[in-house]
Amino acid sequence: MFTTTAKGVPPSAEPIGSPAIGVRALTKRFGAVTAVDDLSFEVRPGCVTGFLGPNGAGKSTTMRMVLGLVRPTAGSATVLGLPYASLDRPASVVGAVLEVQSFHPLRTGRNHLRVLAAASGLPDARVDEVLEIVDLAGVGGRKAGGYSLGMRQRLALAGALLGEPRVLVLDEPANGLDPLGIRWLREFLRSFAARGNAVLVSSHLLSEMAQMADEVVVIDRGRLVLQGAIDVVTGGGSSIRVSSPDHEALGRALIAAGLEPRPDDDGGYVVADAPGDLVGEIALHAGVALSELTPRETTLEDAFLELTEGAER
Amino acid sequence: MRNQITSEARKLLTTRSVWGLLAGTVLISGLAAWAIAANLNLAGPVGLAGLPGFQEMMGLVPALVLVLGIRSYTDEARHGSIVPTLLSSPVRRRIVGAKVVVVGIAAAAFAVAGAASVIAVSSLVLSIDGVALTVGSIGAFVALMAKVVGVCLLWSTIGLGVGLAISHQVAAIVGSLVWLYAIETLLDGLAPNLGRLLPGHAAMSALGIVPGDTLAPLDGAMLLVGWAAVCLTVGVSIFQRRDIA
Repeated sequence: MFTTTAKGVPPSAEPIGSPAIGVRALTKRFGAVTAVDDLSFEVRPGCVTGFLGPNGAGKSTTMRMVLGLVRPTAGSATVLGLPYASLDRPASVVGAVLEVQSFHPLRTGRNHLRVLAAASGLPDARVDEVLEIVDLAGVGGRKAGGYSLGMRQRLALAGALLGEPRVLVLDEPANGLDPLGIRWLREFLRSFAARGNAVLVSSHLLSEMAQMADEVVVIDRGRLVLQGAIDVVTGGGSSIRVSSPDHEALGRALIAAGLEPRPDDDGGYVVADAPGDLVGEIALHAGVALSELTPRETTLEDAFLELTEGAER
Repeated sequence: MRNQITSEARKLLTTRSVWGLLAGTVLISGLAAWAIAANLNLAGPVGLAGLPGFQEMMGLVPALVLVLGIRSYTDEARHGSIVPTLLSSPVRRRIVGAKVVVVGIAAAAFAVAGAASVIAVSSLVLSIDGVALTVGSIGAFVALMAKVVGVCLLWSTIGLGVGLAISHQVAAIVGSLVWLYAIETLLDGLAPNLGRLLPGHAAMSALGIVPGDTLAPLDGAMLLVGWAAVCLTVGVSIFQRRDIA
């Protein structure tokens, strides 16, 4: 499996100036479609910042603008205070994984990395080091087109780590990784950030993000919904999971009482910021039998759904 | 830009397709040499620079280096490797500059390989009829090869420009070959005054292989340089503005 977390993580030399990534009034229009709309946020050093949003929210476009791949219609994005194109040795500043398929399939994994190393003026020995870090050393001589999805993801990560960067920008890096790989990634990113480096990472795995990120930036339809520490986003609050054989009647009663029940995947409702006894009383007065009434902590998933659904409303 | 040139050279040398294209160059040039040399009625020994039909035997090499130039960018767009390329070297003009150098060197190598194949096969075919292919005037042969290499180098640059502008590999390759072998041929026949100014005709004029040509070799060469400059400028201009989304 993957090697230790510490290997490959650059030592914290000089502290990164704040912010590591600055996005200011960034806007991108593709014809009539506004993919990113006046978006501003910052990524601080020493933090793993989760970048959340529904599909099509503009996360990937934002990341590509930060990395100079997409030209903003308006606004600016900087890495360590400079536009990406102005960085002297970009590989030693930013490592990025934007898509899993970013190599010639007939080129070996090792040769793919040697191509990138040469472009950044890095020695070939570094290629073998990063292959070791992501546990691909044994298959580095195989054509990358024959790699599994998880191996492709690790090859992309190896490319991002080549220059021992201070900032990582990762778009869905856990896709295709097995549970051990995901745990390695989490520990690696935590260790990377703990040394004063910065990480901006998007993921659909919200439970994973909750364990990995210190802060989150939530966007929806290209606009900032919220930026803050995980516990601020979740509000440190609680909710009630409630269910009944008469699902519809329970929903009507809760809404009539002024609450906002959100149906969950298991046929019940999650009711935020309402005490359990109040929910029980409402059901009693409505004559609805309950099959479950469980208090629970507000999760990142709850907060995310509430924030993005709220934005849609 | 040295790092980018090394990187581009590694890209070229680490996929099998470029070697396939080189093998195709050797094979096609050899076959053309066989077909042409077998129909030459030579009485005595002939020097390399005086080998009749030498340029025609090399006639398909420019098309192959055109494909090489197109693929230099479109391979990256097709497989997504343009993303890590741009992340490593965000100054796009620098990447294009490195590609021009590396593809140009490769085009010269293709021309030399094609010429070697032509010489080897012609020598063999002529020897069957008892005709010796001699070295002859080295200066004249070097001048001839300089023309062939120069034309190939310019075609590779045109290919790179086309690839940068069109990006879609199949469209760029098919479109270029249709232009070269169908549209230009048609225009050359229907409107010769226009046709002679097009890149395909300019290349043939530069090599001096158009009977009764109204375009002098030097004019043809200069015209081809102009076409290469236009194609590259358009390609770079589009590439500079393109969103890698």
